[in-house]
Amino acid sequence: MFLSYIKKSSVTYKIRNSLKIKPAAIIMPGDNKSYSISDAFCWRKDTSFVTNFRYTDLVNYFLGNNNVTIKLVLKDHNNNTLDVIKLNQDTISDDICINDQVKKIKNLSGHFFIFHELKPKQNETLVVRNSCYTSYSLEGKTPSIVHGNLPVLAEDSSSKIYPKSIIQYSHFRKYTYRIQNNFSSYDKVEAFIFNPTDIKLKIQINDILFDLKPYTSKIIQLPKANIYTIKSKCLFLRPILFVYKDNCFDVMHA
Amino acid sequence: MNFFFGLNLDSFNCSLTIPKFTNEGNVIQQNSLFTSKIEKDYWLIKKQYCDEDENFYYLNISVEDIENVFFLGNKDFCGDKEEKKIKELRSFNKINTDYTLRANLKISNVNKDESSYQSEYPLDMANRKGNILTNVSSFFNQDQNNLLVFKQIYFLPVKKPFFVYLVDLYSEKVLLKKTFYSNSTNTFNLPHTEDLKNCCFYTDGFLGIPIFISYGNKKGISMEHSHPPQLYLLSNNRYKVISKIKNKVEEIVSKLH
Repeated sequence: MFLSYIKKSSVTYKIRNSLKIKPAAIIMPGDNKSYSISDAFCWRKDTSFVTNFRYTDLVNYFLGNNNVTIKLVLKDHNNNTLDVIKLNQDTISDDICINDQVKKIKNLSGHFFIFHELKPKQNETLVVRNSCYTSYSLEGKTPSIVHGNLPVLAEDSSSKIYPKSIIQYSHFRKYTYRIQNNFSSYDKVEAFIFNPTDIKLKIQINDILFDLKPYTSKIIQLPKANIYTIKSKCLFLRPILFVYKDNCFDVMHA
Repeated sequence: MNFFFGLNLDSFNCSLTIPKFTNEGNVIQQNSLFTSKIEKDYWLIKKQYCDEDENFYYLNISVEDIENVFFLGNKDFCGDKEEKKIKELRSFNKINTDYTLRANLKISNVNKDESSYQSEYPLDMANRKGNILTNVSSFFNQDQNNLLVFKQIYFLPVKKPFFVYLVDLYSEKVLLKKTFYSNSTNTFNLPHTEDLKNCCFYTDGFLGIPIFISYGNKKGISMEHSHPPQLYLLSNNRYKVISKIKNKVEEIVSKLH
């Protein structure tokens, strides 16, 4: 039992991750409480982008509780809260136009989270992860859809944010994330990068170097290249990519 | 280790860019790309020739190879002009299951619109039977054609029929029932006449990957895959909860029989 405690302790994980000994990239809350976990989603209204969030009411879907609130937390890139929108729906799935919610806001892009109100039964633990779909339409074209790809924040049933990072980082050694695609045919590639850790990250994408404070994000145009390699102390820094070719636009998770 | 696949769709060309390295940047040593297809009652495996460089295989999938299953394996597994016949598409190549490779699966049309995603078909999924349950409305675009594509790969060389359904979980009605086949690219158009916000797609007997393609009046194409419910529910009771929903869907569709 003591050995099991040692194995699962945060110090052990920190040593393993920092020395690259069986690293663990994602550690979900393990305190037996109920949590609603959100991925970090990108919103943008620059260059005539229209962002829609297409989500499932996970509590309704899994438990049949259809009177629960879903909270959409809109942030700027520096993680300042722009607005909190409470959604009450009577369907299992729905969508919301983010542009309509940020009409009066000067910022042209940022990120957002989504949390589900949790009303677990006594002695029952409920952990849901919202990794639903965001669509981006450019100049009125067919919206391109992409799912969330990084679980980053967890809120418990009393709306308290889980204080630890879900995506892990190293104190010493850097990690590589090489995207498994050739990008040479695209005219332009942009990456939405979110720092899912509670430390400032120094990030290198090919020859570009920049810093990202904890839980902040950035949309960055990448220089033309065949392959993009991301290096940082974060174990899982996976961007969303916006790619452009002639009059065509697409979005994908890396 | 995964299988890779193309999509057999009338209106689109299909290509795959298959990496020779992992996300961590490790190069897969001594590898070759292989293709397998069903011949009578066995899988016929041979080397797949296509453009390649040090990082990728570039495969424009021809019409005759569109239902083939592709995979990376050790160079020596099958010689240049050799053909192997196997009964089951599993445990045949000392397949390394430690790493995950995702290929860029791209579709394009005559207007040069294109869409892609980082695709994979897990080996483990091809070895099992089961049911897929996924919501559909997140992928639906009004005024566009909305195609549901279900890619199925099964380890036995058979094209076996099974039923799939579009079910409204609120009204408990079956909106659509179709016959799909194993080891095939199966499709149907999502209906515009129905409100799909309470609907799910359900497969009875075979696993696979639901992929949603939207195209038509507007310029551009959208293609994205959906996730299984296990990705969204992480608590220890997840299998119990998910089975309960699947049982409910089973009950609804069983009324049709």
